[in-house]
Amino acid sequence: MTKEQSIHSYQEQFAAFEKTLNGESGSSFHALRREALLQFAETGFPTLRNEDWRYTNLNPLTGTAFAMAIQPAESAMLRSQAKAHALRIPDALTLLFVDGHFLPRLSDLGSLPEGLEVRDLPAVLREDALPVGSAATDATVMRNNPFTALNTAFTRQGVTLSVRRNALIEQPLHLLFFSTPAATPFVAHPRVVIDVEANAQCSFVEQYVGDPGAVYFNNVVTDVHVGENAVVQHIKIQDESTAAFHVAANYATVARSGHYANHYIGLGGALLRNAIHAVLAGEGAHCTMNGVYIPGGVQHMDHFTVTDHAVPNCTSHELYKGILTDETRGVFTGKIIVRQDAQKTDARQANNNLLLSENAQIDTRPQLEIYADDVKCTHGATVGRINDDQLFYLESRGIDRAQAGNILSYAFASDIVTRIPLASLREAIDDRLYRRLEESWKK
Amino acid sequence: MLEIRNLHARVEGKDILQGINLTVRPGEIHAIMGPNGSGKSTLAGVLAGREMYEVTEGEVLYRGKNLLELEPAARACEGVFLAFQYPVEIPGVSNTYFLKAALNAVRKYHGEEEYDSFDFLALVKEKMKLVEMDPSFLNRPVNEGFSGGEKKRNEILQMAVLNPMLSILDETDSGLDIDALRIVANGVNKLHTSDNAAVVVTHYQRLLDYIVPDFVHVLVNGRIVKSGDKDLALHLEDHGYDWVKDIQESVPERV
Repeated sequence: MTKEQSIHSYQEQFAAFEKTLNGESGSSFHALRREALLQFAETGFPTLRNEDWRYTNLNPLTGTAFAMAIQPAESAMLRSQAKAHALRIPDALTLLFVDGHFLPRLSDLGSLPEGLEVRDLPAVLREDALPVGSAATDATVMRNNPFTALNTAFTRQGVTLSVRRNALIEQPLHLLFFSTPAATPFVAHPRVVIDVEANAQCSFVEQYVGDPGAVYFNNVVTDVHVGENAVVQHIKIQDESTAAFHVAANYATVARSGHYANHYIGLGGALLRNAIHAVLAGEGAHCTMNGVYIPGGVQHMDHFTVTDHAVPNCTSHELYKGILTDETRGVFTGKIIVRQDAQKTDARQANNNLLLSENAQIDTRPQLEIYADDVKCTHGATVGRINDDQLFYLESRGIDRAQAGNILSYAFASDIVTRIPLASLREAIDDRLYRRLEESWKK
Repeated sequence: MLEIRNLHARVEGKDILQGINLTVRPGEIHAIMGPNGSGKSTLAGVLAGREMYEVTEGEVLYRGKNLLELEPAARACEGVFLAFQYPVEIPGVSNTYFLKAALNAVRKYHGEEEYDSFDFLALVKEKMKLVEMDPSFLNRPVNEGFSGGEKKRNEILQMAVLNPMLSILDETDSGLDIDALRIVANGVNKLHTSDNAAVVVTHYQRLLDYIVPDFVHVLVNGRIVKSGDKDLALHLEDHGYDWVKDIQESVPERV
């Protein structure tokens, strides 16, 4: 299938999708969907000539025909099936999504803490109550991000999460996205809208899991608004099937003195693109982006992060680490924009990579666009191998080479995990990470 | 326990060891002395299995096994221990984790049950007393931010935990003040029994005041040119290495 054919098939899908909407098709959100589809058809899929997509060839994705994901029947078995793949986070409340569809009856909605509201997106859309004009639905954003436009065109499944003013939500909310094995590849366009009001604090764990070998495409958009002086910990664990496609765009807007922390753990997917666009929109806002990616086999993982310092006195810290084995390919782009007004910006960025194989490849590029003159911006990228002296030191104490390599790469990666401020989650992720690295060293 | 026969080794194309012969029996302590560049550390490295050294001739038998055929980890599991001249820092890996992984690897190799965290901690705290180390070192990353003396004590702690048959101490005294030297030597002496053996590689006689060797060998240009008892070390201290170099020159080249 060519790119044109692929676009055409999405247009056909849209026509069929529209017919299922009945009365809703007169809503203002649906008008936005139509605009989004037109925008997507006009821009088309990004090619390697697009600077932002220079190292990621989308042919495997555009060459695959995907049917629209079907609403699964809510059964207790489905929940245990999904849970079997998921991290065990002892104190978390689970919101279950299967094939992109939120399943309220299989989610822990009965015990939501005070100040937290979870709504099924179809219900919100039926009331035509989704705020249009957020970062993810901005016309310029959609023009520059065709996958976001595509998601908007098909937006129906997902949730809105609201945290009321001053609410301190201690229990992490676990958004578990499970994709079922299907006879034919399918596509889902889930959308998560998170609104955290002033002075509130909360943690979200977004996790993607799939049956090993299942072919599907998750085209995800998350839209986070961090209110004044609010603190949001957003953890994403991307553990998709290694045959799956995962393209995610995560938009975050941080108001005055707010803190948005995004922690990313990337393990799955045949082809992965994880984009984060954070706008520091109020003075004193802070943004943290930490991430680790560990592709294996022939996995391709592309990380695209943008930190936009729009106003003065904001800070941002970013640390991404990669461990690349086999014939994997990794991409890291760290764009820092400092607007003309954004004096006294303090932005730090680092990307460190460990190449464990001759055939693995990493492309790393910091991109600084600085229009203010009184700012502090640091960036650095490293690409290295396992240190032979450290390896021999461990071996000389009886630890065989595979385990020694595992210990050293785990030490490299776990640095990211230690920065997640939830102890129960750290343990669960540590365990998963260790097993993942063990697999790569056993070969 | 250890029999080195006509051992030749090179590093980066340069011949360093040129025919070493050495026999170590259980209960013995051997000192290997020699000037800089004589091949002392190369010998230690070859025995521990460092990849950078290429053995070109000769053999090494350790408790009846061909040592050179074993992977470095297998050598350690068989009871060979190298105390490093420059212990390696490993950020991100705690000392406890490292020691426990090492001990359990050795136990697993011998088909023994692995230690759980509780039993391990009890064992390691006991061993730490031997080298007068504070338990707080357990939670710190391996050797990271340790002083020279702390690093060497950490080497002896590892030795105490792993309880090797043959310990090779590579310049363990280098850079140590007298207190640290005493603590390290004391640890080595307490670990010494009639069943195990130690090869102490050193440039200076000073260490041998604390660890008294049964034999002293002088290594010059990759060969042992003179062997004797502990008095040989004292003689070297007084007269330097020049006189043994002369002996070496009088030894005919092998053809």
